[in-house]
Amino acid sequence: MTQEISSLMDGEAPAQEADSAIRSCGVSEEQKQTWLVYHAIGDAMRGQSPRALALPTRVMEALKAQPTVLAPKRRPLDATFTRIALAAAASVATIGVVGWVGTQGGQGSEAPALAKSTSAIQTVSNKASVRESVPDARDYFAAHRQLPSPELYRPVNNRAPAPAR
Amino acid sequence: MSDREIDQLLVEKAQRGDKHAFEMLVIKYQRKLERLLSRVIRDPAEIEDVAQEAFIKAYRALPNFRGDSAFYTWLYRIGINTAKNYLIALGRRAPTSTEFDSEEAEGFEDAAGLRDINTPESELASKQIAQTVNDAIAALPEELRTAITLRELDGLSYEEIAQIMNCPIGTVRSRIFRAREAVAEKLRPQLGTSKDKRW
Repeated sequence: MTQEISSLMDGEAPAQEADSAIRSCGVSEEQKQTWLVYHAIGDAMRGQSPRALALPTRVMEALKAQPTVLAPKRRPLDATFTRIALAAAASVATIGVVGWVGTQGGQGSEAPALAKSTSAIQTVSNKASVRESVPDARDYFAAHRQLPSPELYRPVNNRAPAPAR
Repeated sequence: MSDREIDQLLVEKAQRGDKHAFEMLVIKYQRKLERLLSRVIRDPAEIEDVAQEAFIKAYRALPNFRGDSAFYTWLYRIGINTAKNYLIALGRRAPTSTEFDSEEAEGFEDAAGLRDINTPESELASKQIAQTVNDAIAALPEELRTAITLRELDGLSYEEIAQIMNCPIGTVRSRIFRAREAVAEKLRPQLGTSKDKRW
């Protein structure tokens, strides 16, 4: 295990071994001391000899009294990128579908589309032009214009009753 | 894996609730932080107290640490701010922000430019530790001495050392470990507790 600690402090331990070394330092005071002494050796070799060789027990005791911190787990970069890419693809697909639907319906439904986009007042004022622009309606009105008015069927005398004398 | 990446690994474990991972960071950086704080505070006992407070603040703020800077740079800023607040609370002059900037933290060589904050006892202990390490290194077989020197002084990776020493990486790993263990065996009798320390 001490060899794993040695590799860990050199940054040469594979992930699983690093985990194992960190865990062992957590449960064993002896391994914590190994971590301390190995660092002290490096410091002393670089002319930074420590003033004492002791575990920082005061800090460690103060730490024990602290509530355990828990930070939200950060998503790895590739997962974030995937999410962004999926969101962008979904947006593009939505825009495409809406655009396609609009294009397909545009030929025959220009007038309704226009009517939808105008206000109620404009709709009322445009009734005549709608009447003329829609072929079915125009035919309908033309057919009905040719029919005689019901007044034509009334008897003549009924049309202008003689005044009572 | 660089030194920064090792710290990041320990930070991430601590952020997931592993206090022992943070303890390893404390063990690694306590001496360095205390030496940095000695540039602001003169009294060794006060330095120790401020360092402890800085570590606790860092632990509490750990969820906010995003790894944009090195852990030590971040810890350094917390340490300096804690020291400034401590001095202000005592009505003493705190250093201006230009006197200490975070860029210093990365390349800080704590042997140079520091006040001599050693007491005669701690100075003796420091010399003893240095002497023990030097003697133990000198007594190592050459291949072990070369391997640990290339690693600790030149900062080479195992792969680079393997190329220089013309041996497999596994052998380098084993040599460095054996060298450390041989030196550690000589040092362990000098292990004490921080309660004995007080500089």
